[in-house]
Amino acid sequence: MESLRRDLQTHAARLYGYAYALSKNPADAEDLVQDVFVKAMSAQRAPSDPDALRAWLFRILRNAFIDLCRRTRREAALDVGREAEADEAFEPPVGAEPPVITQLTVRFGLMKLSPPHREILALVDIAGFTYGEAAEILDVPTGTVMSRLSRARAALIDAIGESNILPMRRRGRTA
Amino acid sequence: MAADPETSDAHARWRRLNAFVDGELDPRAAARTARAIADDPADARDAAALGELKAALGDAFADHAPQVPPALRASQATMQPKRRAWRRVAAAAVILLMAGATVWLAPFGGSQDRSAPAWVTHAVERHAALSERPAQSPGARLAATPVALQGFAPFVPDLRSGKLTVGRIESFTGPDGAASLAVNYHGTRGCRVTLVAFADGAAGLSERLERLRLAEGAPSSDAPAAQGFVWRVGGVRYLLIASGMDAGRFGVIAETVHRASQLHRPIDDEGRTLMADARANSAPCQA
Repeated sequence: MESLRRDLQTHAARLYGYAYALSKNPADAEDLVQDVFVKAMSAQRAPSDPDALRAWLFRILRNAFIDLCRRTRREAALDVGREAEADEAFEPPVGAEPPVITQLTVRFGLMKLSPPHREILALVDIAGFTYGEAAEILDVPTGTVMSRLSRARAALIDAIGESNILPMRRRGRTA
Repeated sequence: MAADPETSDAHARWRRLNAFVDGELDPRAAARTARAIADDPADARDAAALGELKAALGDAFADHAPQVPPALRASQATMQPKRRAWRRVAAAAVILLMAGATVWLAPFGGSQDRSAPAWVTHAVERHAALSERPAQSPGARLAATPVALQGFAPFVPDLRSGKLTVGRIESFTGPDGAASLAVNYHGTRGCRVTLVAFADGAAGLSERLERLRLAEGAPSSDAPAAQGFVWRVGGVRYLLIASGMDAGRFGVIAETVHRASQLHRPIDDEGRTLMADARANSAPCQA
């Protein structure tokens, strides 16, 4: 039991990040993570493999979020339509000066994105899943994860760049 | 609707850089992309931005960890600590094997220090000069991701896990006129390490890490012995030099930096742990 509690605590911050990305609401995120803790600790069996345990916890959270949306009659909107997957839907930020990237700006930028883009960034960059693991959680092909993630990062860079934080040149340094 | 070829290329490049930053490319594709990043400032800039984005997102909620409630019912324990320990041991074993294979190779056709090329001599002299100078105040800041410098994008690692912080960064023109960069790191126990990068092609070097014989100074000199490693990533040559440092520790640093430079990515958790362990198990530098 203590071992599972330790594992849950290890994953707590990343679970919270995923929950926040899904719900955009700190109170809901806290509730969702507590829901995961209770369900995991009351389960008959938890996966013993660390990777399987981690995927299991995030699946619990995803299902809890979908349940929350149903209860509160909110649209979960986690599925991406075919149109949104098309390359025409985004422009890679080629040749652009990168915006100011900090923990703060990415959090603000993340909240401006669509639910599927927030979710894929949360799974890969916040939770640390591989493309294959994220594909299993989302039940989509790995190629879809790859293309969705590249669009999401382009959108995040755009969102950060549109903020009122001015870029700061930090290159070309000479001692 | 048929996609515009230029647009498709841009999308493919962007996806490839994303996959590279995520470590999702197969080894051959990763090596090709690493070389492209080493050669192309635009690729280096975008890869660096993606690396910063990934790192910032990874840390964005690190301080928001809800507390696990008191125990409900027991479940199974996991094996995560054992697995992590095993991975560290395996990584250390690989490094020891590689170090054994590269000891005292002379990468210039068996030449000794007297016949070393001008760029090596130049780098060693620059290391000596930089190491005598105090660190910049308040200290040169270094992003955890690669930097691009006036069209030249060498890999500059963050070595703080090995208690080495950037003292000075200096861009200069190499002996054959190419853009070059020297980064001098200061340790807390008298260690000085310099990474010198030259932008002017391969100079017959392989991409493997090779230990370099360096001059130890005149017999009467009190200067500590210098050690060096050289390697190449694409068209960028690297030379890592240390003075008076424990050879085992320096070998671990060189292996770690070499690996990260090939991927053009920040040093990973295992590399940081290995560098920290190597420092903890080594004597202070002979300054």
